[in-house]
Amino acid sequence: MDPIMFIQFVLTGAFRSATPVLFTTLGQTVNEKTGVANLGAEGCMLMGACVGFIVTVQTGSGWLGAIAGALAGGVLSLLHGYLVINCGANQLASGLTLMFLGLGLTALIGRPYVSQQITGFDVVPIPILSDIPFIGPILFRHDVLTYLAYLLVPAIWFFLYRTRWGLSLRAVGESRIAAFSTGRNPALIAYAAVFFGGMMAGLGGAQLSLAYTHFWVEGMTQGAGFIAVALVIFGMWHPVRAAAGALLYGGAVSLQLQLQTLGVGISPFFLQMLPYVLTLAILLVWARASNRAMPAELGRVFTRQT
Amino acid sequence: METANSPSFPMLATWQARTANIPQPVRRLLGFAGAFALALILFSVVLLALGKDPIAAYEQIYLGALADDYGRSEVIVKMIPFILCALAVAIPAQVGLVNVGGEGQIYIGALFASVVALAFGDLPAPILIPLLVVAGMIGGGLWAGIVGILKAYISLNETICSLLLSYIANLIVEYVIHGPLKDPGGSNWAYSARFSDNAILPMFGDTRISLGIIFALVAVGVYFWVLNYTRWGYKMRVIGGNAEAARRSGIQIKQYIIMTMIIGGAMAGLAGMVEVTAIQERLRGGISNGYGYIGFLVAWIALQRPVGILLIAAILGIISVGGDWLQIGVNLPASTVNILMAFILFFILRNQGMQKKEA
Amino acid sequence: MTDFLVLDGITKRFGNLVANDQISLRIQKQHVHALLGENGAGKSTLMKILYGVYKPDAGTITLDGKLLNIHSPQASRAAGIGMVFQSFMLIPAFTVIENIALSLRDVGIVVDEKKIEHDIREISDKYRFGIEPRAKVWQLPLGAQQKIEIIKLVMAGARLLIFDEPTSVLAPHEVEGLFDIFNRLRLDGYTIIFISHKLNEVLACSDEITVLRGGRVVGSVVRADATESLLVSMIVGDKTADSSTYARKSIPANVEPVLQVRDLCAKDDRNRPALENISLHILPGEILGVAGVSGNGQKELGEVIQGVRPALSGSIKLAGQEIIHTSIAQIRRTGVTCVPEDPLRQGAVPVMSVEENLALSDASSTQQRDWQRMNWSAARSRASWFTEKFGLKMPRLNVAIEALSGGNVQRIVFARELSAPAKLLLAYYPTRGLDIHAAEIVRLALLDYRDQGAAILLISEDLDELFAISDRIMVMYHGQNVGERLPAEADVQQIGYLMTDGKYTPEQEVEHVAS
Repeated sequence: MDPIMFIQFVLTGAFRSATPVLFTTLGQTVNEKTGVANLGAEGCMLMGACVGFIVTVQTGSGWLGAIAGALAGGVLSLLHGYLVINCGANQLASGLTLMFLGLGLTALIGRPYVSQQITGFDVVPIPILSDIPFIGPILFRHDVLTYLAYLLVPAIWFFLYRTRWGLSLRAVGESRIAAFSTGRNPALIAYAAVFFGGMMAGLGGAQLSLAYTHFWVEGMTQGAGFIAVALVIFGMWHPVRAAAGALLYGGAVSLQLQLQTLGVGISPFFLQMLPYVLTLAILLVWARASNRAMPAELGRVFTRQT
Repeated sequence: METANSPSFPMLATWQARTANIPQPVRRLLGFAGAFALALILFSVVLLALGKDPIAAYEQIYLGALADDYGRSEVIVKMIPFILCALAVAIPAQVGLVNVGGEGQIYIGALFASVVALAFGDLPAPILIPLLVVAGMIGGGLWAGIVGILKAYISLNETICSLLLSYIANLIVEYVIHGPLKDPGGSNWAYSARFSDNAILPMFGDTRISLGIIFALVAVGVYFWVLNYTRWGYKMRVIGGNAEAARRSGIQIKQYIIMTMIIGGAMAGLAGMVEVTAIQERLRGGISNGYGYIGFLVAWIALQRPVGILLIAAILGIISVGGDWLQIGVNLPASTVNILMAFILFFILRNQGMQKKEA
Repeated sequence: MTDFLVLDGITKRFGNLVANDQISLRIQKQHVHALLGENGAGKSTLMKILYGVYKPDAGTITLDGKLLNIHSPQASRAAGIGMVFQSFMLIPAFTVIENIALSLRDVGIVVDEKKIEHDIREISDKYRFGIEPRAKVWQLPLGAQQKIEIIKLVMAGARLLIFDEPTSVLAPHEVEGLFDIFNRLRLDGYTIIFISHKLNEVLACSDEITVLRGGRVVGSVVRADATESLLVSMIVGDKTADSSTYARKSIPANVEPVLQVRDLCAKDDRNRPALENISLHILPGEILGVAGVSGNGQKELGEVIQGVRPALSGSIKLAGQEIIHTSIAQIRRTGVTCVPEDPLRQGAVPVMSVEENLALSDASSTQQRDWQRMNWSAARSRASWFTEKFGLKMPRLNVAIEALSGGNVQRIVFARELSAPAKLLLAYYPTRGLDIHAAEIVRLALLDYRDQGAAILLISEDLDELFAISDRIMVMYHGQNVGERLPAEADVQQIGYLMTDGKYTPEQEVEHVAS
């Protein structure tokens, strides 16, 4: 195969495969910024994929499906918010509970829809831009949700680092006491962020079933939610670096698929390992930078005082 | 934070106030029963809302898991990995470490045991099986030991590190069964060759309960004894309770961090070894089936207490086995029981959090 | 001159303790007004009332002619009162701009960092702070963080600035800079309240000085009338220490000291010098009392001896044996035991029961007759022996220690540490917070322990106590041993000078005698 074509295929695939994970990673970055990690992102993604699919089948509208998927993910994550913020439960245990709940609920309600097919979101090439050689197909021939995911990267960055709300949100993750003493309500802010994180995971799941696979099957996210949680660490809690992580992950998946079609004898599993090994390497080499980037309140139990 | 703490259910708050003078263990048990009942009710509501019959579902779970010897034996089969993986979490938790990497430790334990089983399959069982046990424990212990060493010497966050190593472990096993250990006779199936009969754990009667249950029970017993009656256990609890006081009284915290991670990992590795030598009889992908995460929940719900671990593992074992029968009996997907499990966990976590806040 | 702030009859009780007793105080506009007093004199409580953290039981606050109703820090800030606490309310991971933006009320939806940066630069230049607005707070030294807190107050429109022991986080050369800032703020119309217990600092920067003792105002003097001797006698009172309550033992002159510290240096948690070439020794059967304002290296001295904190240089010999580079467990086994400063945090496990906590001193013991087995029945019988001996009243021995009062936790830890014979006991504030009876039991136990031949390093804030039971008193100031006195031959004023000024010169002596 022409090496340029090969690279183009790999990169196009990278953007495509990265999208569901990117949505979820962005959302988790936001809610971890308030000090709440959600291992249940996997469950939220499944909810989004399943509910989004059902609504699309019932209404015929991909957009309604995507919105419903996002809301389903958000609502599920509110349970996590309740356990963690109101009840002071352990974040990891609560997150895992959420994952099992998502797994079970979607298996149950999605069952009648397993063998159905939908149109959902098709590829919408952007006029003119998509005709640019090499770059066009890589960047500008995707479905609408994929464009949305990439537009959200600068938007979330701006929100977190340039607005008053972003400042409050980050303050809650760094010091609930300081946020409280400057007249903010840390619980409310954390709730909002957890809901947003769940919505983004739901949207990621919806993109998977509505635009990527166009079908629904039980457990279809296959651990993508956990990958997103790992990528938040890779991105050191920064949306732009998180997006880079998601692309790296997408690239590894895509490269492995392309190599398989070429029949190259490199084990795909080493490629898939790449994002995790890199994250570990980053943690080892930049342990201090990473520790500093980590929100100081991350994982801490909510107590009466704060 | 006024909003977060204003009682969301006023009736519940007065109820809690009225029960304040009931002794703690009784209250804990009542809370547990209450959580269980609420979960059953909520699960019924969900099923009803979807037009399913909850009574039939509960009946099916009962019939599948508890009504006959076969069902009961299958519950015990499930309990083996649950107990061992709960110990993998509970032992490091005694010194304040959060090990969410049980999945990875299972995989590496299974891998080490498989390598030994395939390489020394000719050895007689009485020699080979102890070797397999040791190999599984070394595998899991090694994988968790990495986390412990990084935690002790460069304060790398053990939660993140153990989680990341889990993914890597899973992929290592995938690589091995697609590559070096792939069964040459298995055409396109990605799994290792079947182990020789010498490497298969002995079973009790005609059940699938293997020697693994003895390992699990002995491990819980040793855990109980070490924790309560030895200096090691005492020092572990001191570190977990107040690391600064532990340091000032001369306890070597780093040693304990590394050792508890290694021993915890060895427990998960043992679970992986039991899974490949008793259930699968070969190394496959996806053998863990979420045992590492379920173990985490078991340990956390049981507050790391030995008896609690046995109890919660049994309950989740029943649900898990019963769930498989939902498919056959009432035509619900097997993973529907995950909802019931999640509801139980939800209400217990809620209780625990509330109790901690009251204290 | 007008009275800017008038406090009238402020009273605050915590249970039986009267922290502020009918305090009345007038502070003039554009003055630097110092509040001086020992630890526990009531300075911080008074200022927290003024800032709205505590509600007074009685009394009124008038600011600039208006009667204030202060019920919260927000109300206090709205009235123009700002406070710089000892521990700063800054977020280390944020930039200076972000920290300031967080405290501002009227930032738009999109934070205008340029404008805030400009405002910060303006204030920073005006008072010569040299703050870089884009720097992250964790990168800045504590002195700079203090300046950020000042900028916050100025930008929030405060007119009265309260500084709670601001020099405690500063290096000596930074202290002068702070006083310079006080002066410039004063000239710009700000009024400053400065809490301290260091004489030289107060004399260096204030216009008027009010001394508190035991929750009451001893008196106010303007700078021109203030002398060291006057202030010292106001701080410590005209008490004459009774040094003859307890029997002392004569120690033969030629015995080998149990503890011999030479030229020891160490740093504190903020990496500043805490011990500077300190030397001291303690003989067997001797109590060496350490007097000093807290924060002069007492904490670090004990930690270095225990092996908890590394020493930079010097030597520590325990019974002739160098222990400076050995492990904590090793040092404990050699015969060092300690009643820590904060017993619950440093010497106990909150979630464990009383009897489990009583076993903690055995953790590194070498007596492992039963291999690794815990001997709970022995621990239990010892526990009941303890409770009897020290008169501890508690419902059950299996109750978690966190459920007990602070005084009980303190006595449990004390009892445990004194239960086994040791060569050296480090005792931090062993009677702090105890009632008279309980304190007496603890003192007698210390004397008893001494009489069994142990050397005791006793760190206390209570000069009476030091005079009563020490065989020798050493004063620590800026990490040094600035003087040793025999209780029978010294007086409280002399020790007071050494504690607050680090020296006791002939001139001071003349002044002291004359007054």
